[in-house]
Amino acid sequence: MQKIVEPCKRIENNGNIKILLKGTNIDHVEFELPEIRGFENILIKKKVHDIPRIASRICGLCHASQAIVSNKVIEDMYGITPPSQSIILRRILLIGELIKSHIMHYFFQSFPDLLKIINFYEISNPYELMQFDPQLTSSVFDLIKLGSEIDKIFGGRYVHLITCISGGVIYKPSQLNINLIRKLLQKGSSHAKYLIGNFIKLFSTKTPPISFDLPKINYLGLSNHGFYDRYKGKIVIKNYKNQLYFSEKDYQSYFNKDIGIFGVTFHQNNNIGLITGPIAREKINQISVIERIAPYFKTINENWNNSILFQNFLELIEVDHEIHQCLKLLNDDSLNKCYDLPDLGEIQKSEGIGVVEAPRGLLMHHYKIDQNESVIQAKLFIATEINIPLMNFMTLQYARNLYKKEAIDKVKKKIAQMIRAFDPCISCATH
Amino acid sequence: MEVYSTLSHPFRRKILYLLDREGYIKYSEIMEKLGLDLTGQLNFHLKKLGSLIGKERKSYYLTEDGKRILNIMNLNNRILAGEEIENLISQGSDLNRIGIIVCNCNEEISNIINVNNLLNELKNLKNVVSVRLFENLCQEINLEKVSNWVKENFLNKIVIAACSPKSHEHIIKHMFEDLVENINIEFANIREQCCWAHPNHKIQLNPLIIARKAYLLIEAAVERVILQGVIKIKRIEVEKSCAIFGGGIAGMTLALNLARAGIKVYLIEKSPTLGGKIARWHRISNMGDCSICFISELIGEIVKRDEIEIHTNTEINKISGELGNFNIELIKKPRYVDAKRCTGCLQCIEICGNETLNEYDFELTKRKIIHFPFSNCYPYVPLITDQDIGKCKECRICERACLNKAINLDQKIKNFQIRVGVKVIAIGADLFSNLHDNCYDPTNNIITSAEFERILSSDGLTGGKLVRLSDNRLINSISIIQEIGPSDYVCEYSDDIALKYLEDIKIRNPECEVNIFYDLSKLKNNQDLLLRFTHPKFIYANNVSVEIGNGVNYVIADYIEFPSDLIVLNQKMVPNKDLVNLRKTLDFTFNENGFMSTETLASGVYGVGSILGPMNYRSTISSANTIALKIISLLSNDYLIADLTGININEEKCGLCGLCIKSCPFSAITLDLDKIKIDRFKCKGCGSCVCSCPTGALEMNIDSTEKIMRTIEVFSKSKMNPKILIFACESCGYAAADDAGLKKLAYPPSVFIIKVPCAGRVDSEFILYSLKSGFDGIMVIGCRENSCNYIDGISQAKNRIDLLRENVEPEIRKRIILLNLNSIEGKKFSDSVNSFHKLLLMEV
Amino acid sequence: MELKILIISMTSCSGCISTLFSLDIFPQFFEKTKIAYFPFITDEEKLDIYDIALIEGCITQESQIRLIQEVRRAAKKVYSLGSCAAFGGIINLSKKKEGEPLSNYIEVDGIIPGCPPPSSLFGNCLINLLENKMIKLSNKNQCYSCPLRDGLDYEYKTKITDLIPNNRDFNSTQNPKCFLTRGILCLGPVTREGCENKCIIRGMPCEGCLGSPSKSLYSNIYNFLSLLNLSDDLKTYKGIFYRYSKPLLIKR
Repeated sequence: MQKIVEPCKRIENNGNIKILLKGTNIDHVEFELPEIRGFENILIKKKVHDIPRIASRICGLCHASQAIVSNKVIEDMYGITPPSQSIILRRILLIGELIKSHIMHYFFQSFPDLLKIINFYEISNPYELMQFDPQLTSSVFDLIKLGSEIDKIFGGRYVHLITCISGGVIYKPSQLNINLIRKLLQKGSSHAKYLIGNFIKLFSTKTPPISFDLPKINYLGLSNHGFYDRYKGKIVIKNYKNQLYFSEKDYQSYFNKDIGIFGVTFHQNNNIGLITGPIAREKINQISVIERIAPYFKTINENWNNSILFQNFLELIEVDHEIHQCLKLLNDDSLNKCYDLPDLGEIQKSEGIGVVEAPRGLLMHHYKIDQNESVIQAKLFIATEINIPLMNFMTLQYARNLYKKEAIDKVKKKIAQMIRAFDPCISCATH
Repeated sequence: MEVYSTLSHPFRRKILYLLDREGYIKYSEIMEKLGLDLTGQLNFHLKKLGSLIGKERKSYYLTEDGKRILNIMNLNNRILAGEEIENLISQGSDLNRIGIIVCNCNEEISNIINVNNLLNELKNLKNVVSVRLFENLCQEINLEKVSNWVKENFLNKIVIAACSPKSHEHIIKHMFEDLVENINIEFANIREQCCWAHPNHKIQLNPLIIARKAYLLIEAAVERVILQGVIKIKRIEVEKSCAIFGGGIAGMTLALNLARAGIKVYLIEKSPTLGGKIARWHRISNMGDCSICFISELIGEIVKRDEIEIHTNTEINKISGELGNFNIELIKKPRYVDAKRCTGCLQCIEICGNETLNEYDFELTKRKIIHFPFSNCYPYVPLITDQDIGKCKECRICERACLNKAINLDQKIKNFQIRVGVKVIAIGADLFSNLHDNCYDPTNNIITSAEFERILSSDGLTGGKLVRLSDNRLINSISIIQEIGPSDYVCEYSDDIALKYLEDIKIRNPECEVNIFYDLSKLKNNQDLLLRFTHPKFIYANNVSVEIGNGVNYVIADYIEFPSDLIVLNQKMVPNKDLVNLRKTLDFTFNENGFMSTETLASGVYGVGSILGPMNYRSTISSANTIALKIISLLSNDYLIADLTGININEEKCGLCGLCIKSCPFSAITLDLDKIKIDRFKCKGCGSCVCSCPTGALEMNIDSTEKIMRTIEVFSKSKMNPKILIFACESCGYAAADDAGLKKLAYPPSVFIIKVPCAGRVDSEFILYSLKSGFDGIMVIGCRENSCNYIDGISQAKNRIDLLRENVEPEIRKRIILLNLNSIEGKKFSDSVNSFHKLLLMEV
Repeated sequence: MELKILIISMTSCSGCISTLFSLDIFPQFFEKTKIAYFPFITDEEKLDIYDIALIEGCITQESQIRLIQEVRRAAKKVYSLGSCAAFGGIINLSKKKEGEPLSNYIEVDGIIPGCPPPSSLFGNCLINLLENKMIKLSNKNQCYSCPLRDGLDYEYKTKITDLIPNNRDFNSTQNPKCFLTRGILCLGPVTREGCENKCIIRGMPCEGCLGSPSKSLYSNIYNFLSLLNLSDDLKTYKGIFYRYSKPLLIKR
């Protein structure tokens, strides 16, 4: 048996593609994480107030989701609700994070792949990529900046926000800042439009390779009464014929995990039958039916619908959608009002659970604490952790097919494309 | 130094360099190459070079001397680079020419290790120019040899490998006094802490191992001396004068003492007269005189002395400067009578129609608004207080009545300044005055001891007769209740006062019954009291109370009633109420009872008399005498130099967090207008602040962080295991280690000792860095908790090490130990080190 | 001449790289240099020769040691990016794992500290690197530029009981006082200045992510906390001491 280990490039953080060759067959393909950093362990014995600041450090891309979900758990345990102003601010912070994360993934990691797979156009380094369409490049930089500035202004800095605390957000936005962000968003909206148009122009009429098609699977995500909402809602597991709705408090009836060990176990489904993230969000909440967005979908060749590569398009759609959402939120009256942050007071429950949709999908934290307000158990459910089994399954199929015709070096390169299409967040996954 | 001056001119250096490079050069060529056109100049330089160059057949060449100098100074490259020698000399540290002396100490060293091998190894150390062996360095016959050696080799830094610096440092530093700077001498303690401490260890030791340790000790000393930089010395001209605040008995006695030694004294009194509290007293215990006579005599002497300048009615406005040179701004309040014109005729007082309560008699009598505070007061000039001046300005009768035109009701405040070398506070104490609990009521014959003094005094309330204030009836029974006031301390003189009263009462009325009570329940340390001399009239009761009766009052002591015509409450001395305010301008600290703490006696502020605590007359005088000696010796210097062992601040790094202020045991560090200011005379060089400074802005002049870290690195090269590093405070831990060596109590040679000024200097960084560099165990040895030379240095160290130990992994926790020893506990030292070594041996 | 740049991650959260993309000068930095090896966005497989290497994250594995040693050989200048690379980072809060700074294995030419590096400091560092200058960090601590320093009690008497302010404190419109006089632990005094006191201005105390201006952060924390009147549960709270570095990594 021959083992091939190759670092996968153009993904967030480090991960290896591991291929086991048995004679002329590929026996096994796995995306290998470097190690688990052990945040579930790190959180033990830490004071409750300190947790969100530490949890944020799980990931530099999904930092806001991590901090906010952590705060939600604590608020659950103390039985408090943040003022409506803080909730709006949290939603805005999540939006900033999503814009930056999606655009970075789309442009730097996936876009060259799409050009190659769909249009057979080779791009070998970022400088070629930037020259491919200068207007696209400048739009991308502007959108990254937009996401960053939202988080910096409302959160205190670009990454690992300062203002997100249990009970709300320490920030009373000034009209000046609101106007500034509004202007940036309006500009961002046209950039997003350009990006979508560009995608449609380049790829909409083409057909993605069949190997990238998803098998019959279940979709996991949040849904606020059937609407797209990444801050609150019920957990949904949905497949082509039925769907389950349940509160995050009851998650243990559906799935669970062992602390310190990688992977989430679903009781009713095999693990490779699940996906979370933009595709799941679309399948569950269907932003494609929103009036403003629907025309974009109509232009896309139907064959895209079931491809993992469709995630790239959905990322752009989500960016566009959330920019509009954000503009609405900025007009909300309660943003200008002065609300007091609630005192944490006495602890109500020794256990708490919180959930949000991070850019890459469902993110859930579950803590248990003792009387001294120190954590005694922490479980972290991470989107990438949920997606990796499916990703491994698909890459194995793909690799086996490829290996019949192509040399192993080419196989490695091609399955890397598929991995990138899944947009794995290694930092989160190695929590 | 002569060579330095020869080489100080760039032309001369260039000549040497040219000669070195080209061998023989003609006069005209030198001219050309130097770019000179005046022969006189060149001749001057050639002459200056003296024996370093020679002349042969019209050409110049480098003599053997010249070659040697060039070689020794290793100057060839430096000349090329055009570096200025003056600069090098002024930078000091840049030029390291180190000499090592190994002292054999009557073969004590060579008996254990091979000294010749050691010497040979040392020669290879960086920057070491010469290594010499002496049999007994500390003997004076070596002085000349040492001097020649230093000069011949152009040494500027010296390492002495010999006995402990604690034993001979002063002799050796004296020996090198004119040769190298004191700060550039380092010691390697190869006797007490190496050759004497290891050979008797149970396991037979290879002498090479001991030699290796000696080598490392010396290498570390070399590294340290290399790192020693130049210290800027702070020099202050001493203003040979003294300001004394308070013109009571303490202040006056001190003033007289200093004046007799020829020191200019400014005697500054807040009230209008000298004399202080004692002026009101009837007499002083065990002294025949009436106190006012006694004071008059003292004042008489003071007035005669030209050296003493008296300022009554004067207060402090602002003080600046430091020990040796203070600038004090004073405010003189108006007296409304011109002292120069007044003849003391009493006209004004007789004519004055306004009366007020007389505070001199505790407001039990009345006086005129214009008045003498008391008879025989000094200055003998009447005055009007500021409270009354309003009334006077409406009346102005006295102004018209004064024949000498001495009265000026429009007198203004006068500001003036003085410069002094030291300041003394002698404002005395207050008497406890919160007497509610004791039914104090002078109209009902329950009075204070101070008022009783006024009854006994012949110019007092009753003209010296022992009669009741309420009805003028003769007093037949008196109860004196002692120690009225705070329960935390006892006034030692209270017995004396009671006995004085007893005597005075018996003179006036031999029939009078006198009882003296102590209430033990009101005294925390009542056993101290019981151990003192007791008198049959003293009654020590567990509970003493006063009960008011009809015409007669009772003292009830443990349920027994004592009817008393008069009850005297003997008040305790309590801290002067002005002390708290004075602290803002004068720099001192309080002791636990709120008096001035004696610990502050070093910053140019002294306290005398009862400002330091309850004192009787004799203690006051003796405290004044002691302080006088200190001041005289201090002011006998023409200038003061701050201690070199102190600290320096680099303002570029200072972030003004003030942690140094918090950690300084001597309050030597203060914040002054967004700048950290160090009082170099208060600083004792413990290094606690350097340890607490997070930015490295503070650094010690001698025991710098860099030096200690480098020493750790050198010691960590030892290959013996398990290695132990000890940080020992100079006065106790290090001395205890020496004591162990002296007693030849053995411990393993893998134990290394670093001397620090105080355990408070031991930075967490040192401990963690040592462990990281491969030491298996760390000991910090400081003084016993209550005997730290630097007040709380050891407790700061304890807090730090406790916190550190609690937060490192358990297996590391075992490896860090804090020990308290005193300097003669050599046995305990070696025992502790050996058992620690054993513990680590099992671990490794 | 364009500078050839290498940017890689060790064990990290990618937050420093994420911050890099957010910087105002990032587009210019991108254009003016040649980012030749950056697994986040390039496919390059083999190491070449580089002018500048920025390494994010701490060392937790053998293979990483080999990699950074290779990078050291391949790059003229190597800089630690972020507190993980500079000091070891947040992973040291774990009982089971230890993250070591790069400097434990290779010589680094400078650090860009912070979790994440403050944008202005990061930006200035990049500009310095482009101009071939050394990275310059402040020698002072947070207090120096702290807006709350006026309220600092130089006797440090207040009992320190909390890690973050009570939520009520954020509601008051009054100017807040120094955290240490409010009983909240702020590591500002032992932390390097250079983030424009971002956390403090937003109402949160300093956590010490920029490291110390002299000595190591953990030594300074011990020295500092031993002077404070600290409540017992904080005295042993590992979250303070091991937040961005671990004092001792025993490798025997």
